[in-house]
Amino acid sequence: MKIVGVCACTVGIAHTYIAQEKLEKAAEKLGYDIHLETQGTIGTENPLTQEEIDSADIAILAIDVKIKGMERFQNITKLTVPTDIAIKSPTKLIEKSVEVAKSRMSGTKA
Amino acid sequence: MDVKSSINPKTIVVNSNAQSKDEVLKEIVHYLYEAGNVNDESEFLKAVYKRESQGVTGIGNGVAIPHGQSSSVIDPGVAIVTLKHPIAWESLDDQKIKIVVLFAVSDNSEGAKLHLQLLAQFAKKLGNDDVLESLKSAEDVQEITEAFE
Repeated sequence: MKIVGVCACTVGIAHTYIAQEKLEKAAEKLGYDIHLETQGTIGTENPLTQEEIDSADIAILAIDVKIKGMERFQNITKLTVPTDIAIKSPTKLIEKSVEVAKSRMSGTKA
Repeated sequence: MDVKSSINPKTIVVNSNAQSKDEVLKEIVHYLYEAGNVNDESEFLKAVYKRESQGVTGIGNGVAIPHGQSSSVIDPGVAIVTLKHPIAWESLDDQKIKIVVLFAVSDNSEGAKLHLQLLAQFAKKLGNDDVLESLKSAEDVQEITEAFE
């Protein structure tokens, strides 16, 4: 299972990076591969390439504002939530995204 | 420069007696003023309340991370205050707040990029439950800075 995503909050200084850390830690614990891009006051860090997004199973957009490069996620199943959700229940959010990804996969097979 | 060195001991206070959100915010803003991070306390406080009006800054686990972006910030920085008595604060898990970490960010983000990068790394650490636990049990300024090692 490979997860990609973006974190971005209103001011771009605190919630963005806390959400990133929480989701990374939660995914790691559950044994999933995760790559999160952050878009904050300092700009984009840890950027995702189109190839990475295309090869992932699901995208989590933990965002409170419009993000740059939204078009990259056109062809992937995505969950969009406020950063608060990622900070409050990171494990639940990862589990939910995996569930969605799995149901999509079995859906395409059938 | 690492995350730990971005913390100024002058803007860390352990066991503040503040009794309310208003009181602790005023207290912290004053520390940032005295440390030379902010040149206008009331302007900066306004920016902090503007951010408060946009959403909850209590991130759960007894920790709040208010922040303000304002031209009154001449040197971006962070202040950390632990509270003797937990106070009411809008929070994701409705717990009272024991630790307040206030970020001061300048309007001119280009000129302060390195500093803001450090603050971002600092914020990332606050997403780590182990760091929060060490912060909560810290008894002095040194133990607070060590939590970020």
